[in-house]
Amino acid sequence: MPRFDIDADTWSALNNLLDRVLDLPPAARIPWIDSLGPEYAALKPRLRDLLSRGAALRTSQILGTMPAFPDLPDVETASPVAGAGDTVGPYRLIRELGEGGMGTVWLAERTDGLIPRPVALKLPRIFWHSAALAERLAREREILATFNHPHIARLYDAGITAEGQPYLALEYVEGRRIDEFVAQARLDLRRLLALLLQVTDAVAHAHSQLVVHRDLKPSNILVTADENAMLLDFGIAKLLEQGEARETELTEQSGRALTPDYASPEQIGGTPIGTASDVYSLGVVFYELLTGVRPYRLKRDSRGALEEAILQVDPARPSEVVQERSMRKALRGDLDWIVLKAMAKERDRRYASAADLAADLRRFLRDEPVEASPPSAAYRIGKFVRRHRVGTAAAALLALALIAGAAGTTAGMLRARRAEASARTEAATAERYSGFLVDMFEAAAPEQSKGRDITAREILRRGAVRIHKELAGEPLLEGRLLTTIGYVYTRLGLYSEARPALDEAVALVRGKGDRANLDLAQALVRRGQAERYLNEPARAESDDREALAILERAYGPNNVKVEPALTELGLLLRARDPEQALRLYRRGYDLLVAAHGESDGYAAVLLQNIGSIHARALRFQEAKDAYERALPLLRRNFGERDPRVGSVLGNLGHVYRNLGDYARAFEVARQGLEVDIFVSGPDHPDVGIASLNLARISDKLGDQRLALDETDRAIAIFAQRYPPGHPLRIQAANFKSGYLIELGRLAEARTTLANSAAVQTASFEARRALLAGQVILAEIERLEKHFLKSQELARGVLADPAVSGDQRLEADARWAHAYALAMLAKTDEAEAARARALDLESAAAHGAAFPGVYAHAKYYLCAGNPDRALAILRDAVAKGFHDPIVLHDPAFAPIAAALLERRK
Amino acid sequence: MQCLGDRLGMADGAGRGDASSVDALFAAAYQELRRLARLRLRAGGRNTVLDTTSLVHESYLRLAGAGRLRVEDRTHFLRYAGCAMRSVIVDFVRQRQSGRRGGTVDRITLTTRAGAGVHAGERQILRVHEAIGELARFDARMAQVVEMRYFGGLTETEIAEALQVTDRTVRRDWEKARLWLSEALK
Repeated sequence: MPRFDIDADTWSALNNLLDRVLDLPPAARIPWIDSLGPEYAALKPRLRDLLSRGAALRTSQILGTMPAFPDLPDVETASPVAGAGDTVGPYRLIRELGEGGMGTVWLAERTDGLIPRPVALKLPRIFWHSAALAERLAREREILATFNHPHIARLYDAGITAEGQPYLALEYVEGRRIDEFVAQARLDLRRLLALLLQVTDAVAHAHSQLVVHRDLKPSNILVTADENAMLLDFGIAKLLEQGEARETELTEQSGRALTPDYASPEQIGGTPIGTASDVYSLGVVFYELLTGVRPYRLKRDSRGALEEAILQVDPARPSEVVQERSMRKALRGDLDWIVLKAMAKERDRRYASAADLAADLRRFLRDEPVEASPPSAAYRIGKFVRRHRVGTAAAALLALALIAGAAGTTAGMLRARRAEASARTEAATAERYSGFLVDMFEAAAPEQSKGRDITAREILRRGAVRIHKELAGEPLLEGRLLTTIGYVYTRLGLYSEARPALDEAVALVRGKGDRANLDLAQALVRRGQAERYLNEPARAESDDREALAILERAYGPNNVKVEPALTELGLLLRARDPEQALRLYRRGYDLLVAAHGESDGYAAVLLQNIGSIHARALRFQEAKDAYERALPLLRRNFGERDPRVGSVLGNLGHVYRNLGDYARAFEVARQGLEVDIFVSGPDHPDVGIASLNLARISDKLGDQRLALDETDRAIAIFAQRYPPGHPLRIQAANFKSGYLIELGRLAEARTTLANSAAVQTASFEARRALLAGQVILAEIERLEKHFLKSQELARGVLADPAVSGDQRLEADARWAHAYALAMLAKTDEAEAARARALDLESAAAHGAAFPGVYAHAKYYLCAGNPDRALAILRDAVAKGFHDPIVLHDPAFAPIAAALLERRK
Repeated sequence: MQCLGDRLGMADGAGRGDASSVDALFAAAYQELRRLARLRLRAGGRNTVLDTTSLVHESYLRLAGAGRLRVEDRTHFLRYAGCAMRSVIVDFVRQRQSGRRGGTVDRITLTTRAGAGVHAGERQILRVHEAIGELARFDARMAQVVEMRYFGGLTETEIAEALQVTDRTVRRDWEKARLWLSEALK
């Protein structure tokens, strides 16, 4: 006896949770359960177990089908309707012609002789329970009866008998089912296509009368002895309402009661059905008649498996499945694409109408180019990724990168490729290039990877192996593919893997003459990018400049094709030489806008880069303007879930924070972090940067614990992806020690700094980050009352040449110096230092509302003048300054109470 | 098994023209559903969303066509159908088992080929029957949904109509029932 080992309360609690979790998409369910609070701890394991795949599978098998007992004597089949000689309404039945899922068909004649010929009388096995439906049938009959097409069997009459039995009287056609006819007559391809054209034209005619068939299949198409195809059964056709049939009572009862073999994905899915659904069914009929086999090969022979296949599986090309060699050749190419276009899963990828399908068939018969074409690489990769769960969330990013990579990635490259593709050899190379990328994905399909989930990394690794093996001797193609692979590695944050692939790519295409210019430039730009991430600025700059020179020489300096090199060089120089970077960005931006208009997505990327230059120079107002202009453009061009959108949201958070709008800052930064995790996976460096950003805002909002958690997340990611001494690793450690100081954990703060300072680093940015760490160390020394040490540290920083140009760093160092001097009671020097620090703050303010208020007040606390400190803060608060961090900073303890009082 | 409430509910709707007595109507409906239950047993019941025209429809049509049921009786009829068919099918399976154990009722000669499968099928039907009983202790409606779908072969829309809830509720109940029953049917 099956039993639930559960009490009623637990049951109802679990049942409620089930209701909520089932509302979520499947992928979100387990994480949601994991996120439930401790009060659910006892329920979680069982809930997880209930939702496990195994659970659903077990019951689907058992409940899906009731077992059959075919040996059971059929004692009570008594059916009151239908026998030869019976009358149904005004008809007398002569003999049964056939029986289908929908009902029986009889040869019948009118008892009153109104129609002299015998008719095919269809007796649907459907249920009619309202007078309204009878009216509806009558109305449809009026419309269907007006059909007058040589290849559509006429509908003469339809009605409901007094007993409630509906009937349809159709033109009686003497012929054979088209599939049987074709199999027996052994038609050649042209005659077969002519027959299919008749059918397609007939459907097109019905569509022009706004009627869809909904049940096209070989048994509904008869062929007469003189090779005329006749389409039967517009009996369940449904009036179109504004191009799309709405599911009404009538269609719900009859429209979906189909054999699913020819049903379209939207019929299976129960979404509204239009003419495109017939186009799909026609495609299946074509497929079967041309190849002799059904499009889907099922592992299990069940309706469920078929439905699944219709929704998910791409059929093999007709030419791949047909047996006859001559047919294989005839179908390959145009006919493959025509059939598959008709059978596309997504409506809008099919022919818009049967008439368009007919037109393409006629083009084929006249040897003209057809409209149907093989699906693009990007489309196929995108589809593949949606279908298979490819490893982690990083797969989404991989697909994105590959799709972009398949065409050349950045705006300039992508469009340049298209222009070049006009040359025939280039077109052939481009085709093979995309084909190879798609193969890389398909070769990694789960069947072939032995049921394991494949990771993006694995796809790339295998891809590189295949490239070496199969393309040796074709350096351009090999180089181009390796460039893409290297780029994808970079996008995935796997910089060390990117490097060797790109080295090889550059070596392969270098010295191959003008034809390889674009390939070489692209490989160099990509390598420069990887080197930038790997913190090797000298090598990156040399690559970027070489790429720029090649492109300028090949296309001229004002051609948009040079933009990728300009942008990459700008990214490299943004810290060391922001003004030059800004010029490079602006040049790239102008080229893009001139070529593609102001709403170009890549121009928006540059806009955001320009914003970042402003932000680095503390011109927050300008930065904010640039970001706010870029954000909607990026969203429109790339969608909400895109790494570029994630990054501009994070940047906006940074700017809002600096402008003192912490609540807004937190909101956008949080959104940005979510986007980054979604598109890049939780271990991506972008996520680390977003976390750091969120941490700094949390700090401002007074939540140092959250700040510490987010920073630790970033530190863990960076440790995996960046070499020691990378500026981001140093900066993250700096931030962490800052939060530790605020929490009063000075010893930990000191250790954190010491660890990160223990590495050698060459880069300028890393040098500055280390200096910033020294400023923090000076703060620790001061708090531990080692004022002299503190002062020396600050002075050491100020003496370092790397400080000049970074106003924020310099201001911080000057404040630290001033604090130390004040504590040492070197009043005059301290005052001088304070004045310089304040000047620097004001100069660097650029729109920040209250430059240095906090540091200024702190100085007076150090100088033993809390009244002055309080006055400065009160004055600022009176003018709208709102900085709750004050209450969390140990330095402000003496005046915190007073401030708090004041705020109330 | 109790299908009585539905029986009375249905009977309330009878009484048009020359309609038979309550008992006669019930007998007619029961005969009809018994026939359907056997049809389902012979063919094996597929429960897929595409089968939007269920056999129960036809039975109703037949009875309504004969003037024995009114349109308003449909809901009662549908509700009754699942329960009655479950009862017929379970009785049949039990009889069959006892027949093989030497009982005298309704003995059916088994072909060797069908033998093994049939045993498993019988067990499966009884297990589902029992699991529904267990499910009913916690959630009567959820149990009814499974009963109507599995034994009655009713469509989602019909079940929704019978239980006076939305299609979505029926789908959700079915989805949850499947998960719960995976425990009971282990």
